[in-house]
Amino acid sequence: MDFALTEQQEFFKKVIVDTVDKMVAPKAQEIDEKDEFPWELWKEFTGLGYLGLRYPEEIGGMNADKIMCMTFYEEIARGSVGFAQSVIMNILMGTYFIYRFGNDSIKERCLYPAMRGEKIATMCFTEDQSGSDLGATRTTAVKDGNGWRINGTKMWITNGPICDFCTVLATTDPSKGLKGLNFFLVEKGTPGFSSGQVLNKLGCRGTVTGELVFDNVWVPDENFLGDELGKGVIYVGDILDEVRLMTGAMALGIAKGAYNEGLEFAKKRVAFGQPIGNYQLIREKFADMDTLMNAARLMIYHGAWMLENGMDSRLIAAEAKMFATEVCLKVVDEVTRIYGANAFAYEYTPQRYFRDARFLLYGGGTHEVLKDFIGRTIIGKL
Amino acid sequence: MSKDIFVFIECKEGSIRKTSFELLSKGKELAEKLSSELYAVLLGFDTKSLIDEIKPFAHKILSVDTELLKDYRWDTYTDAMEYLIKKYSPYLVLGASTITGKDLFPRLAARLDAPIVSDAIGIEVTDGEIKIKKPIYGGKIISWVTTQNTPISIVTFRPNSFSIVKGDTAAEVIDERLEISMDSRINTNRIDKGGSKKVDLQEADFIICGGRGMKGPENFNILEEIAEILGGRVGASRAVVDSKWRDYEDQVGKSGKTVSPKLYIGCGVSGALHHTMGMDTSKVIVAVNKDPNALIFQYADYGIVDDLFNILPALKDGLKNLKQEA
Amino acid sequence: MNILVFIKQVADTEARILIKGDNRSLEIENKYNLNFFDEFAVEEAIRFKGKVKDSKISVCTYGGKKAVEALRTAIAMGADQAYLIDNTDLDTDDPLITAKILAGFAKKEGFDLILCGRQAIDDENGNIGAMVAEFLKIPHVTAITKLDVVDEKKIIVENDIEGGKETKEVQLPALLTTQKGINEPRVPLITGVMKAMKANIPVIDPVTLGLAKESLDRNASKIKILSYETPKGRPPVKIIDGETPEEKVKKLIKLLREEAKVL
Repeated sequence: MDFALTEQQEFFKKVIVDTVDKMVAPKAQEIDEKDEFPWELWKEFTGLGYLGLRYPEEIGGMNADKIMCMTFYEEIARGSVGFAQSVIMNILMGTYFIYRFGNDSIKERCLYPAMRGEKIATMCFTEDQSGSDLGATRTTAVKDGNGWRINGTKMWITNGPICDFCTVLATTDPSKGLKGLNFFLVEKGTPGFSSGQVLNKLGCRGTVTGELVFDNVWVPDENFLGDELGKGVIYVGDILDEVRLMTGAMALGIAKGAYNEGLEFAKKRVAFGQPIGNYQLIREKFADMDTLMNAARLMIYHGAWMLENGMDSRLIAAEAKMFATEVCLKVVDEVTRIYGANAFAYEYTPQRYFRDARFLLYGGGTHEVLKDFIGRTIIGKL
Repeated sequence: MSKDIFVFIECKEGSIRKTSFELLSKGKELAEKLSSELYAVLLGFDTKSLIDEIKPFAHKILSVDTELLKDYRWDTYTDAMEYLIKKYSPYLVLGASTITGKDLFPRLAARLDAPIVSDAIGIEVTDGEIKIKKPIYGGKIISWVTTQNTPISIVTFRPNSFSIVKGDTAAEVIDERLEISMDSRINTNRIDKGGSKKVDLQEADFIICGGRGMKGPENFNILEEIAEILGGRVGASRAVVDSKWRDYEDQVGKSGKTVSPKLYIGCGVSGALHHTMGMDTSKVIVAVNKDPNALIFQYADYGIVDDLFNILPALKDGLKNLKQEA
Repeated sequence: MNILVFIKQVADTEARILIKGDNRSLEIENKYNLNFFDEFAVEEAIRFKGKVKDSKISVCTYGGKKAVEALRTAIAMGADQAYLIDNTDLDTDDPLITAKILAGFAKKEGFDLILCGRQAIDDENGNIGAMVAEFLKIPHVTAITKLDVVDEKKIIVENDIEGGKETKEVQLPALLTTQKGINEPRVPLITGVMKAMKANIPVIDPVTLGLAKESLDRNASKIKILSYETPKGRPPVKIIDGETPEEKVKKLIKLLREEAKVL
């Protein structure tokens, strides 16, 4: 058994930590307060090249292993989860199908610019009436000449209102349920494609999230992203573990950010003549938080290691996502207690972590759905 | 073996720097303990008028007065120091940890293959062992250091490390003449002596330092006024310098200057570690901040929790009255 | 042109540092960085390379195995090559020894320009630059805030002097130490990070640099640490109360005069 990062992974982590500390973390509070997409930071940060994290070097990527990817997700979320959401969307879900199924022309138009940060990508699963329940997808794609005609409305789309292209999940045959689901590329400027309502969110502010409307949108056949019709859900399964582990890594990042603030506060805040960190009840909180965060970290990186080595990571990914997010909620809660009444003021940071943490409850599957999946998988069909 | 002590006299704008008198005072104390002689080493040009000032502080004055030494250069000064050290074989060479000291002494130490302890704040001599007190890791740790395997040791000290004690000796003046030449590989084109800042930040007895709470560069005027009343200097935190409200040369802290004035007043300074590392050896620290949780209060002797824009005008008036009474 | 940059890996300013039971050694939390002032040196070397054709930047440190991380950081920024002179079991507190080793490396490697930070922020000595220059018999300039290239043999630098700045013409080869303000060190691009991750960093045994092993260890050191102690803390702050700012200031001035005796 070997739990150590390699010297190279260790170095990568150091670079990410420094870069986030220098570029992202100092802007987190402002991003949250303004709740506008931070274009300037986007340009500066994506100019470094991280959006190609997962992709091969031949096309300008970094070919990072899954451990490095988790390190990146964790650290950037520690800096600013509002910003991290947008960045990770371009890195992972927003470009995954384009990279896997797009032809050369699509890659030139969408993938490479997205890896350079020149185009903003997104992925549209969720609808008003369907989230974790993909089978309830109502957006339709109907064969029309040399292409497809798409109708429907997507909701809760990260980067949606500012995206340059999106991968949209639609059913080509509602009677087939999950087996009728497929992915299509829709680019900005396509007639009938528009963005609707922009959501005013509790947390993850700075990420522009909202509604995308497909009103009789026609796309050519090359925009169908897949080998054959009806395999959309299988493709989702191929990326789901990584998405869940990523969500867990982000939760860990938020927890770490809040924890660091709490630690600094406990060292400096004086009550009854001494720093509150001298009191046992405060120390207990740190003991608990550190224990939980270490456990979550082990799960996430163990899962990433399994994924990297081609093992079955379905259970660990779901469990790690769920556990890390619950740990994150616990940690941000404890930090608000350590901060006392100050945590209730927008001036201080704990409230931001407190709000941001809740977002991760939903992404990558609600915990209710995850638990059901885990239990079902363990017990099997009786 | 000689136990004599050299103190390198540093001059600025034609006068001797305060820190040199501090070193002479400490040097004299050590020389008396060691029953040895204290040499003040004065390099420069046209320095006759300065000699009388040093006489009460030293046993002997080594003076090299030549135009070649008019402005400090490491090449000429290292040559001159090397010559004098080889001729008189001192046991200890004391200098100041100033910009000049930091340029000269490491070069000199390498030339002589002599150990150097830099940026020290104290020294004791017991049983023939030199114990040097030196803060490291930004003052988080104090180290006690000695030298070995050597007949000579060089130590540089932070200004304001010792108090000045005027002696009653009448030092013998020895004029030394020696051949020195400038290193032709370095050619000084232009010297730009900055503004008319009266006191060196590191040497100032009083520093009033502005942090981000000062809100903008225009608000530093009142700090300048207060500094002037007390004959001190205005300092700045890193945040202020990074925002370009003040020049880098005013920066107090880990990445700026390390200061230990008699009185430091921090105004709107949060007290981040990199700042406190540069000022926590100050004798008395006062903090003015409206945030009662500001870290700076952990380092302060006296604190005022209030809006600094209310406090500063009152402070200016109070100090002005005090000076007028005196 | 051969540009050498000497760097040091130092404990982060926020790292926890504890004195061990023997009072002679320290326990330092595992948080290390490329020394603050050395980042400016690496950055300036990269900019210099941009101005002078066919330049090569080699970065070198005398440190432990862990220091490879700081060397990789320099490569990620844009240095071409890095070398670790391994000080395992030779850890010394004497800058003379470190400077001799680095000078030995410079002689072996060849150089036209050497850059390093004006001081390390751990021991806060600031000795290495001028010492290496002396051992190599080349000119040095400390705390430079500007570097301009005249030609391959000559540069113009600006540096801090007492109460101002000085501009000097310096013939190469020379050694310069960098001060804050000279540049803004870059955040590495991912291409640099990848290059750094793959870089092969040779480990050099210091005895191959023309110095006898016995001249490098603690016994040969001319400086010896006697003990460490934690600085005496100040008594808790006295918060000055008062109804009005004037009243608070009045009380403060009285305390500064009568209790602290500094006014």
